[in-house]
Amino acid sequence: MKILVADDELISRRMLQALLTTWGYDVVPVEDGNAAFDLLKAPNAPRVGLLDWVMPGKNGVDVCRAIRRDRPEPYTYMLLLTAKDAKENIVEGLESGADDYLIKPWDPDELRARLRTGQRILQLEDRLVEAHETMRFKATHDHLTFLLNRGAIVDLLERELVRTFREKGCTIVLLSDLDHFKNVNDTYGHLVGDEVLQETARRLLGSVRSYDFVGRYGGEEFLMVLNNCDTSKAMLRAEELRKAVANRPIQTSRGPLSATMSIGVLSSRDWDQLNAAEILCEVDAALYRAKASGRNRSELARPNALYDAPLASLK
Amino acid sequence: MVRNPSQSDENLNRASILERLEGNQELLTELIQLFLGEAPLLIEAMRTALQKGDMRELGRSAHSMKGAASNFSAYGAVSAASQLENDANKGDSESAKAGLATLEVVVERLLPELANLCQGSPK
Repeated sequence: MKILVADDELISRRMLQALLTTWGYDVVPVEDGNAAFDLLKAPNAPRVGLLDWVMPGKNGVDVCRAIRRDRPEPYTYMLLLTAKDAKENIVEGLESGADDYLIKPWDPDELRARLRTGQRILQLEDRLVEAHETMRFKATHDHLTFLLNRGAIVDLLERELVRTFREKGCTIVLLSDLDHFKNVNDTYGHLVGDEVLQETARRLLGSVRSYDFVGRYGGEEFLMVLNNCDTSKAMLRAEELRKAVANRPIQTSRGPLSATMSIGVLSSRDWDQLNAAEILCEVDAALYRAKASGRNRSELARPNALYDAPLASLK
Repeated sequence: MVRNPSQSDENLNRASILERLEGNQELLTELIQLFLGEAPLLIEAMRTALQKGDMRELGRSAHSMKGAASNFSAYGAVSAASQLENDANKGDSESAKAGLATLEVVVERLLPELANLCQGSPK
């Protein structure tokens, strides 16, 4: 484990470095508080800092304050070394954000034990962060396909639309729906239906760029948000995705199954300042036209276009 | 408390110093040699600071001397350096002048004692 040792006094610094190295720490020694601060806030910084209180530049207390202010996470465990043992000094040290302090000359057994306490706290912190990340993932992702869930993809669409209209960029929105998916569930059961959804999700994710977004919008509906696209490429992109699903059968536990999907396509360039709900309404209408025109196809949503799709024929 | 230099024989205890270094004799030798090199430089820095009336720098060097000497439990030097640090931080140049003179005597006696510990270390 990496540990930063900040002490302007040569002999104490060398002594700490030698002992900590013996205990298995990877020691980063520095001579003043400014260097300590720079190193502790750098990427891959040591998670533990052992700071002398009195140093030129930033003193140990200044470093604690600055790190707590500028680098809230990941947590840095900071231990002050001080010759000051007056109560008000100890209080000041701890209130500056130090986790612990040792009065010089410190006892090596005590220092070692206190560093272990520090490591324990950092491990707790890591577990907490990990649990929090897991919860956040679960709250924003669909548990079957691991795509973004409906709430997350719609939030994202909302943000992207604001940005794209402000920057006069181009965002392409695709809403796709697996054709006759109900038949799959009815004929082969829900488990096979789930397998089809999972494989569809994988193929969609595999067919977009790393900075595009794919979400599960509803049961068998998927919403895709493609950024910085060329509007003339909208239909091309939609067709790529359609083919990714349609071109080869999906392997399921009940054998290979052919699946196709219909896609509503919308380019933000064709529209003025619509919000997410309005965009979704337009792209949904395009999707319905794709369904009505025979399925396994893409339809572009255009403003003021005359549509002759027989809406009444939709089932 | 300012100790009288004539009583400042540190009675350094090799065993207890080594205990703080977890018995590492090589490290003890290394640290002593660092101190033998560093202490005269710190004294020199303090003299210069005092001449210039730079109490801040004087206090800082005295603080370093205190920290360095405390690693060897050289309490005479720690106490003299601590007194000097306080006087310097208060801006009391008269007391600081006397304090530096005291510290110089104490350190002058400490150095050979430390060098002795070093030689006493079995290689």
